[in-house]
Amino acid sequence: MVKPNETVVQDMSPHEGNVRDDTISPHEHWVIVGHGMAAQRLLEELHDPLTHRKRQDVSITIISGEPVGGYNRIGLSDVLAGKRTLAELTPQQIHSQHLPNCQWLQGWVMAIDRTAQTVRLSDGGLLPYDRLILSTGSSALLPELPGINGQGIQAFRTAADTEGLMALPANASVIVVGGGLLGIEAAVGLAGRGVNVALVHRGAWLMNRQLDALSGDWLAEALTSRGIRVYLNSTVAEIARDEREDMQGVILQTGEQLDAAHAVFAMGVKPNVDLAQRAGVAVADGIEVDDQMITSDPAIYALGECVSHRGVQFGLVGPLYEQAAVLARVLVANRDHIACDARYEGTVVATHLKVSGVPVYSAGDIDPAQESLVWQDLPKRHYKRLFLKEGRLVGVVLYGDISDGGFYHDLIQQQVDIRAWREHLIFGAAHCTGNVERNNKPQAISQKPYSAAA
Amino acid sequence: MKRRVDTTCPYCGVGCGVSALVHDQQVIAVEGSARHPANRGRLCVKGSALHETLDPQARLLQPSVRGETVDWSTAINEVATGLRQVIKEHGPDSVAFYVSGQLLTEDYYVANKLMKGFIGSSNIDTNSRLCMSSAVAAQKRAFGSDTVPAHYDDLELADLLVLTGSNAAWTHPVLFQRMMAARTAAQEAGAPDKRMVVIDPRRTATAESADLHLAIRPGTDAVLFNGLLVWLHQRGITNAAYIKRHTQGFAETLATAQQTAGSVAAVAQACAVPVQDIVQFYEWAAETPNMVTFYSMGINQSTSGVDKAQSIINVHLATGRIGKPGAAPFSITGQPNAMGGREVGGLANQLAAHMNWDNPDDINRVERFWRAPNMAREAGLNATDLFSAVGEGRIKAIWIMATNPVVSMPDADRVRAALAQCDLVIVSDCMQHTDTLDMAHIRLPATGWSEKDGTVTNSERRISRQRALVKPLGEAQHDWWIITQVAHAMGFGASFPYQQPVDIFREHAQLSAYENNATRDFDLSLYADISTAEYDAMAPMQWPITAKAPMGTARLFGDGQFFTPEGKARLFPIVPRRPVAEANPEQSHFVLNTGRLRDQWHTMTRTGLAERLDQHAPEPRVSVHPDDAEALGVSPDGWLNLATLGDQPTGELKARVVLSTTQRRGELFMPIHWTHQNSRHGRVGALIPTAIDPISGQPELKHAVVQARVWQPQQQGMLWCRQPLPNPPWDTWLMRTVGGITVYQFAAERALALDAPLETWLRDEWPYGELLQRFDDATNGMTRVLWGQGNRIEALVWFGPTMPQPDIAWVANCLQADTISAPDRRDLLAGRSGGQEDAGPTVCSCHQVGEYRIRHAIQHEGLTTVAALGKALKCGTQCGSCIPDLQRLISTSVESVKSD
Repeated sequence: MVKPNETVVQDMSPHEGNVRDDTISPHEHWVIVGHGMAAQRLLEELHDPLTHRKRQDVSITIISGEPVGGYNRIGLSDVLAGKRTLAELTPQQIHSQHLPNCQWLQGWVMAIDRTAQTVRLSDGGLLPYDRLILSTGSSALLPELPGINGQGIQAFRTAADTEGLMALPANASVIVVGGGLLGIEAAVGLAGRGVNVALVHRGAWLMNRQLDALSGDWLAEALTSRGIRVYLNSTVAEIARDEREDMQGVILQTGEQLDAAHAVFAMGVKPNVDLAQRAGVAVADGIEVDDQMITSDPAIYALGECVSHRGVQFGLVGPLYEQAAVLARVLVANRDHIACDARYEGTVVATHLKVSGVPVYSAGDIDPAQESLVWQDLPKRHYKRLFLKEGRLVGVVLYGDISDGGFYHDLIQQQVDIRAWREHLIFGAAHCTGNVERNNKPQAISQKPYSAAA
Repeated sequence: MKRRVDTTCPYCGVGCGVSALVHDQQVIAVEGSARHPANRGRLCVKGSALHETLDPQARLLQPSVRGETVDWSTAINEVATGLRQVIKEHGPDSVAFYVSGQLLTEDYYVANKLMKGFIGSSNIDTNSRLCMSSAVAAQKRAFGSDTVPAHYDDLELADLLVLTGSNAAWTHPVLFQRMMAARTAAQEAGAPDKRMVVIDPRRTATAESADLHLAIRPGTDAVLFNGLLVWLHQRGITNAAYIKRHTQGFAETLATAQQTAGSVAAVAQACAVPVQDIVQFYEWAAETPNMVTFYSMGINQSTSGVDKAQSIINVHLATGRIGKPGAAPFSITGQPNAMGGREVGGLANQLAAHMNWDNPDDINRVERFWRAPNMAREAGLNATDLFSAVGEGRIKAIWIMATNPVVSMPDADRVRAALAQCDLVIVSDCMQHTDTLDMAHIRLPATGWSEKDGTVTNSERRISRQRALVKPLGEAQHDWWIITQVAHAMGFGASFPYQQPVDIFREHAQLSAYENNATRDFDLSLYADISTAEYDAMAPMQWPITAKAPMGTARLFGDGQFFTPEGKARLFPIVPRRPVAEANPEQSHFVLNTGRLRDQWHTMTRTGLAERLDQHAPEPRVSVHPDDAEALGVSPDGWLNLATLGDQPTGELKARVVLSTTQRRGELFMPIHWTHQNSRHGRVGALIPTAIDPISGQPELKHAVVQARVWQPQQQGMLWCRQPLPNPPWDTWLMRTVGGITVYQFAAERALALDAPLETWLRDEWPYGELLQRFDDATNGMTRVLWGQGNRIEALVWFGPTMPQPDIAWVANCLQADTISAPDRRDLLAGRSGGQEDAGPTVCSCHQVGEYRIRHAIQHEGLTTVAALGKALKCGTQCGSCIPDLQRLISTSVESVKSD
């Protein structure tokens, strides 16, 4: 792993050079800080507009903290589960092969000088920018607990984290703390490697932000059947360590100790905002951006998990990709000094995972106090719950059969009035989009949200 | 081995010939018999489904006495002993038979003989009382005999067909087809128009086909025909010579008609029909000598049914339009052998073989012929009086054969109450469950269509053989055999020596000929010595059948000779009478009309077994005019509660409405077919108070006044299960069988099945089941539950605030299978097939896109790049991990297209 104080220059451009003098030319230099999935998608989105007219008036430098940039972080669970390799997650190097004037650096940006429009790199070098794009991502939250600092504690965020977990012996014991999406994927991945796993979750049911009580309970049963011990309504009070500071296990708030030499914390993330904050860019919980992903400094843009857009942060890939698409258009238009109507107006976030052969899907607002439609097939452990507000679908939880997830997601996103076919909604797209010819039934959704896929 | 057998249809009075294809003991197909003159190869939908109604599961197969299965000799003995005991203690008039137009003539003959000649009472009446007794009485009064003078060909020969009180398109479909075909043929041949006038308060399917529809106020037919008589006389169309030579009573009749319907304006007002429509009808009648007036229940089922029929006959007699090709009054019966019943004297006020109680010579003649030891001397009780007598305890034993009076009689609940307290109720039926059979102490399994063997007479006097196609099921026996055995057990064996139907038919023919000398219309003298072989080969033929008319008689009265003492027909002055009950619209009173649906027959004991007959109208709906519905405040799918008026309401009915502008305002229509077996609150008979024609005793089944109120059930729903429930728990329900699955449609005034009670109820009914699937929309109070074990479904329940609209047959089909396919299972609570093709194994998990869907897009939609697929199907556009799979699918699919 590259230390923060080194910068490795990987030259991928015929037009090399760290520093450019842009004052005499219309040429612009853009710097992208961080090379996660959002930045990778931004590069892909920029590919067409920047190559279309073979323009040579923009060069890009992308700075990645990780030795491999832009890989598919979502696939890490599959890697842990042994279904894929890290190599398969690495993107095609679209920026290097096709994007003109693009160079990639490994290292860290230590500071931004907004007046001079430069960034200072971890190797001390200065990099001027005409436009700066922050995609610094987020970091795993580690609670402040006795014994939290020390060996045996890690997150599940990066390729490196994944490699660490994969290196554990098959008979190891691991406590996974956090029963959200990532924690469950870590737990299942580890259990699949023969590791003895306990999953500690403070909520009353697993994935309590995405699932309701019944589906959460069913999921817990499914994990239990995979040999994972699930502790609900449980918080970790302390990391138990012996006199040599070796980790012995975790102590729950009940006083119960769960023995293990390793713990994976998956209790959520916090946006990486320090760099922006130090530079005086407006930050709330994340770096504040408007609908064109522009921060309080018009030369600085941000996207991905580090931002706060309309007071919302993002932890899933869908919204990041939408932001990338908007930002690419905004950047090019701004460069060309032409108006741009691209707007990012938020995303209905959908979560889905497949663990233990149990597909789960969740999207939108699933406040249990709302009106809902509920369908369940008990022997098959299939479950659907649709949340409604004022004749519109606002949230969905699917368990077991998630084939209509995309359909519901579109209905939520497009705020389709579903009153006329409320009775059929829970049975999915095939019952709602005119596939079923019935004279006395609504034929189709007016906006046909599912027509492309149905 | 396959055989073709000619027989007759057991449904309506048309009496169609049926050619049945029989394989071993199975009727495998039926078609119209091309050789039968009634239908010439045609069959209606009911007749076409005959072989689908032969469900052995539905049959009564063993005799039982007070719930104990017994052998026949015990059962016969119980019947005979029971009857003898009652007769000994209370006299012969304390017993009664209530028989049916479903019986064959031979069955009928033996029943009538046993009662009137040997038990010594005339308390034998038939459900034909409800059907055409008014027509009988009118014909006897007008012609001196119960004679239908016409031939079905007259319906084709007539240039003006007047249908009154008949929805022939539904009730006598084959005759209606013949009428329509003749009109079309005349048009195509460039002949003068054949016209059809339909007189009916409702715009029925028949009325829709007519040249003129007169939607008269119910019960005003006699005004219309009186007016016609006046009009025709004013224009010199009445036939003075014929009137003088062949009729009596014309002057008084005309005078009364002039007083009661003297002007078209008066007629129009009384009938509530525009003047120009009346004039049109009258003008056509004036200019068309070839006129047939075809009438049925709308005339007969009335407190003035005899007079209404007479008013029709008056017009025909005054114009001499009778007994000629294409000219006659034509009464059509509802039942397959109503006419045969009349021939043997199946009505209490008939004697036998068209002989009469008012003629002592007739009584003496029948007594001598039968060598009857206990000859009855006077008419017995008609159906309504008979059941009243049962209720009052004057009749202590009743034997009901092949009919279902607990459903079909007016005041049907009172009939049930009467039977409930009767000392001895004997019921012969071929079906295992009927509302009437449920009341029986002794149940006797009778043969049904396909087993029965004998003769029937249709509405044009045509006697046809109904032949046995297969052996009787179980221990079922022919009705004539059962009655004969009882006669033997009662000590009358010598007079009941019958071994086979021909023995009875021969005696019946002999009685018709006995001292007849052309004094009686009904004469089968040619058959007096008929052999078994001749009987078996008998061709359909119209009586009289005599040496002078060996091929039968197409028409009667063409010679102007009638069977009155004077030989002249009687015109009879008719003062039109309104139906007895009057509606008060201010109090939500409505006139309730009743009748048949197109695809059902009587109380559905037979047609209810053929699922395709259930599809036309699976639910008894009450037809209501949209304006009335609005005034009542009932929604288009809402419910009405109908109740009889008066201090002691006799019944109520709950039904969903169907809005129909074919109804006159202020009037409702309900089908007659639903019973306690297949519904609660669906029996329309319970709503009809007893009001009978003073002459014929026929009840006014088509004009009850009821109070209509909106009924708002909190819950409505459906249940699919494998067997009927012993105690359906809802306020009101309907039951039918679809795909072998029992389907209930129900409604409850108060929400019943909430969580715990619903599951408790399901567990009680189907203890081996468990909750399989459930769908709840709590806000709308809607729940659907699938209950069973593994892949075997025991029950599927839906309920909510409104009646659901699932694809009932599709659901039943799924349930019937012992193993349900996965997509079907997923869709079961949707109530219909999603119709979604299997998308195949999931390739893109993010957007749930399946392999088959992707392959289809590549091969048939030209999407041959990852980007194109992503744009159309979204696959590969989120996490991108499926892109290699997409590329693989593109390369392999494109290759497979090339290699194609």
